[in-house]
Amino acid sequence: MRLRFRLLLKSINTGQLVTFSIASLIGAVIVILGIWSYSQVSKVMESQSSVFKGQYLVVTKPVSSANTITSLILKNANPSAFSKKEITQLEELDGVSDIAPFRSSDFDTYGYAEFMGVDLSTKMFLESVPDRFLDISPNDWKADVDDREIPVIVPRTYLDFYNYGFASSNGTPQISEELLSAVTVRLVLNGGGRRRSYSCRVAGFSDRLNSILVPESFLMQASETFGGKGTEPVRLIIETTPNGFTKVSQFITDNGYVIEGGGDTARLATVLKRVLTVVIIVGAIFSALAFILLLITVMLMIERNRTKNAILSSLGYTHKAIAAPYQTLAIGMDILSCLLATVCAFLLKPLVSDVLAQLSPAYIPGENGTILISATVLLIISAALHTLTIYRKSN
Amino acid sequence: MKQITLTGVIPDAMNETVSGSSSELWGRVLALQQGESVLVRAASGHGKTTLCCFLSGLRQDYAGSILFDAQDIRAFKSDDWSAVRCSQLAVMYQDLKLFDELTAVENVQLKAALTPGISTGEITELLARTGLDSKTVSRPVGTLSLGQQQRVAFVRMLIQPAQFRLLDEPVSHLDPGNAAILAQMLAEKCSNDGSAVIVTSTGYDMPYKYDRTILM
Repeated sequence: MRLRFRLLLKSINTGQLVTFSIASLIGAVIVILGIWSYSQVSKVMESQSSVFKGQYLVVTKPVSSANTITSLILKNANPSAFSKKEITQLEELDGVSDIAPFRSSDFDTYGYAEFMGVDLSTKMFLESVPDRFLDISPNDWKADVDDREIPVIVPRTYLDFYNYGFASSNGTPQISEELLSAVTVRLVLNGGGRRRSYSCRVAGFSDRLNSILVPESFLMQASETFGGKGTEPVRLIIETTPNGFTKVSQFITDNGYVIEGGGDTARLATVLKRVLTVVIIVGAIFSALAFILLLITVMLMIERNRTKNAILSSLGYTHKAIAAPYQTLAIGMDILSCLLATVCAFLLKPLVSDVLAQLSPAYIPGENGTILISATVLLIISAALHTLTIYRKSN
Repeated sequence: MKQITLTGVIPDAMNETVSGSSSELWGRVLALQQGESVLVRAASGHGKTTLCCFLSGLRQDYAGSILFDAQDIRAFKSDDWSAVRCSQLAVMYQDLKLFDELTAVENVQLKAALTPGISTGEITELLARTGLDSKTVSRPVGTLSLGQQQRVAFVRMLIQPAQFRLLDEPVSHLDPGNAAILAQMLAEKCSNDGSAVIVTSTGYDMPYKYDRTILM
């Protein structure tokens, strides 16, 4: 066997083999690292859904200049509103377990408060969502339009914004949640020829919903009493199924909607996945070219050795035995490039991990199986194709 | 394999020249039996090498049929021919088919690798009997004379187990003394394994005890 190998592999073109090795290495590194990165981004997206317990998404349409102009020209049109068809489409989407629109007040609302001897007043609006979408369960979360007091839920970010932004920069004292809950705010609802004043109680602070919320039943009654025009839903709240986050966020991104808050990472991860798909394809093309280059090198060697192969055949060597040295060379090169590519992938992995860790704090690097599996699959495919093609061509 | 039968074999290239000729081989029925020795004699260009190529499966451009026992060799697949060339038919080609970059010993070893059991010592001994010393057999074959190369090819043919041995002008570059040595070695081998010998010649014959001579 040693003699046969020495005889047939004497005509190796070192330059071509080095070129193949470099091309193959680059291609294999791109493919292996691309597949690993893709799996890691998917992991980030999954971890994203576990970070947001309950997997609630608040969805809106993006505000564009065109929307603004349209709403100015057509007074009754609201381009940011969701149509019934769009809501139904989302409702029927695989991965959505529950959906509801935000209900908005369609009457004038004014808020008055006295705080540390200063009278404050502002025009404001109220919203509500069905109770099942709330992330807190305040006591006595109900009100009637004839009551004197109504509970409200305030976004915790409002308080944070005041404490860490306004108060710090203006030298005013910071206020705690308990203190704010003790402040009496008076709400005046006005519309439909009616006007009524309510004392307002802060029932809790929400991390999920970025709006001033009142009980849904109260807002429905208030709209009948003070409003009447009704409003189209401009914000939707969606609860996804346990594994539906990725699919739903993908659909939302594809349809040009916007996810408030945590959607940014999901969107970025989706874009990353698309970029990685392109990268994997480029790597696969590189690998395919390297594969063809090695095949051509071996084919040329077989052609140069045509007389030798014919003599070996006339001596009684089978085609399998004649093809063996060429196949061994090709498989050896495949193993070498895949091994080097795996080492390179492990060396480059921390760079990708750093990016992903910035994308999601929940991301924990350390999974190596994908690299080893993709390198093995790549090796098996190229070695099998080389073995088969060389056997056929050497006949 | 006990018998080779040629029935109406005519090379495609000789189709017109053979008809009406006095050839005792082309276009006739000819049976070659295991154990016999046959000299096929013809002037240059009458198809001696062509016959060797047909019998060893390197060419199939002929009319008629060639049977190895009852099997038509046209039906042989690549692996069938490998088996025949390893254990049934040993051929010494006129163009020798040696690898110039390998030494004499290595050329024979390459063939011996197909039939395990032949040591390098045996190969060197056989080469020495043909008059090739240890220094000569360690040189690349490409640097040897044609006569020396012919002896290397002869030994390579000789080491193979076979029922038929086909030698195409085996002593064309040898002096009568060396030709006699090769003939003696061949006779010893054939008497041991009972193989048939088919030798071609243009007139300068290998000095062997032939059972019959066929004129092409």
